[in-house]
Amino acid sequence: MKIHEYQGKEILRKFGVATPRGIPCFSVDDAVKAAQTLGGKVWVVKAQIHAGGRGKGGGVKVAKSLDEVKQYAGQILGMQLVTHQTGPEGQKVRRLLVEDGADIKKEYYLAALTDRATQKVAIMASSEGGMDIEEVAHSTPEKILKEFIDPLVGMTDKQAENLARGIGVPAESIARAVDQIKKLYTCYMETDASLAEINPLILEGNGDIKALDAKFNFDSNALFRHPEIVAYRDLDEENADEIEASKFDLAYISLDGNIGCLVNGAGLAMATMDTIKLFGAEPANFLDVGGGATAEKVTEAFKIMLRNPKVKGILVNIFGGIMRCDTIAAGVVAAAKEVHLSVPLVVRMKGTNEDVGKQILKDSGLPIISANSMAEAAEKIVAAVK
Amino acid sequence: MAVVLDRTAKVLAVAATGDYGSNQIRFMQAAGTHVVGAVVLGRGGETMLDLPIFDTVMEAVQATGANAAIIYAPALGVRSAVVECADAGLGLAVAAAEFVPTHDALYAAAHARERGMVLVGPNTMGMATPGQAMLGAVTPSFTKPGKVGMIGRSGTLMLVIARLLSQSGIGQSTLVHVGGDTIAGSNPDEWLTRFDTDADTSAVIFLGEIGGAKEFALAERISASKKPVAAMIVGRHAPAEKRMGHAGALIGSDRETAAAKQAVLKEAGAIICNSPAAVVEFAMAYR
Repeated sequence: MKIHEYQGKEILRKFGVATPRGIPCFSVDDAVKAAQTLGGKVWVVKAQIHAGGRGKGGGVKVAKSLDEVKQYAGQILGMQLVTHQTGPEGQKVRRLLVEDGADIKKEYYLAALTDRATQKVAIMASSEGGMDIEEVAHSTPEKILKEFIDPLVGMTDKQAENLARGIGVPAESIARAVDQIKKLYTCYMETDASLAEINPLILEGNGDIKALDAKFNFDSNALFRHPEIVAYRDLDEENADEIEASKFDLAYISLDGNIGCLVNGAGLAMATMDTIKLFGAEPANFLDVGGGATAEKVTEAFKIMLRNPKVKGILVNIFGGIMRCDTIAAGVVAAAKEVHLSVPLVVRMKGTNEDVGKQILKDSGLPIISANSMAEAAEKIVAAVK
Repeated sequence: MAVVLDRTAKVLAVAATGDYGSNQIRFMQAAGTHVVGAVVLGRGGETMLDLPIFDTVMEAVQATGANAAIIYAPALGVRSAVVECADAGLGLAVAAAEFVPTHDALYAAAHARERGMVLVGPNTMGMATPGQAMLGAVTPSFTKPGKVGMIGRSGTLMLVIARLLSQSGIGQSTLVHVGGDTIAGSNPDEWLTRFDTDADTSAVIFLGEIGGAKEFALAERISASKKPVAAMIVGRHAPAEKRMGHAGALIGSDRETAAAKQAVLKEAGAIICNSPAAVVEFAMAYR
């Protein structure tokens, strides 16, 4: 689960990571009041959307007067902000963050994430902060330092110091940087984060280290023990179909093609999509109904797929191991009737009780096309939608 | 001989309760698995399907000489159950639950490794040595004793292919689903090492997918493997995941595509299969 920058900074402050003072705002008036409350002469007006790359898209402005705060807040609030992470349609800006301007002497990069290959949390840092870090990774990978944390030991002072020295933090600020890096690690672990990225982490004129940005993602499996993070969820920033799917524990990702796919098992779902593509068509979605599919889940899955107007046909590929084919068949029939299915439906069903399942499909009187192999199923649905 | 799991395994069903637990135990017993007891805190002294129930894994080990476990604890109980099994000296544990918090899995995997216990999962269909023993949900009727080893990152896909192999007369030495989560107790390269030294395994099939970097460590291991390896990577046509921040890319998400993985596995000497039929064709020579 993703959250906004201002929420991420609230979390960082709880764990002792320093950030500029700031106030979230929902209107232009709020923004001007926030600037007055903060005081000072320079403010930063920042669009709050979940996607990154906001600065380049015009979503971050430095204001040197209250009039400028008003002007920029008016420009940014409500705009359709397009960044390399939003897709071409962009994301509507509904919230702002107004912050104290910072005295930036140097910008660094700092992030924590879980590395699957080493099975450890990786803390990464770079001297090249504030810019496109992917570009840094490609052209000068040696400028990105990594420390891998043993889960049984935790982060050591030495590891934090290696990073701080490695990215060139000046001697008088090393202790402060070590402190901030270790606090970020604690924050990452205590909140069950899957990503915590600070870009830039800055060195101020007075030698302090501060987080100027905060991007977080949290492990959805661990949210049950973090109600305070769940409260940060902003449904406006999420795909409506994917939200609906998650209510029923369905893994759904919307794609660009016209063949809806309903499969059990993520690997089999991907193999099915590959096969559709092999026959010259494109899947409209990825949908894994999981191991414990019930008739209700299958019905919901059909509804979600059919909400996409591009869907011209549906392919169901079920392999029954512990899950029985007759259960799924009953679900498919109930779903097809309930949603008054009007597009071609191909069902391939293998495994436990497959004969009973096939009989249920046949007896339903519905125009269901059945197939024996994955290739045959893909071929039939591709032919049916052409 | 088989890999890690064979007929000498004495298995504990940890946190197996109710009809679900009983059904799972019967299912494993039907596959030949020697289940010696169950562990359910607070139910020590009772029995389940004529098997003794113990309060702790340690007590169960002392009473039965158990050396392996299938863990049915729900997601939030997996970390402590794995730690308990490892501390009791078991050599193998399969953690079935899905939705385990990643940080719990990180800790559990590290702890198991430190104690020398092989951990399969979490979020796994388990493992089987056909004709000898099965831990988890690897449907016995879809497998057949034989010489081809299977390592899967996807459980259902592994079953689909196992069934095709069995129907084609190709048996399997051991099948293992490493688990579908970010963190797996043992990675595919570690399993390949085990299959490589197993006298009963003639060739290995790896079923991989996009995402993560497990295939890169596997490729390094394949170069040194004495046995032929075939790999099928699914998600070849999946679009790049909507990305979150940049840190994923930094650790190597440009390497996470099917094309990149196929290339590195091929370079290491693996036979790349693009369909289940191609996997069967490969395995035919090693049955």
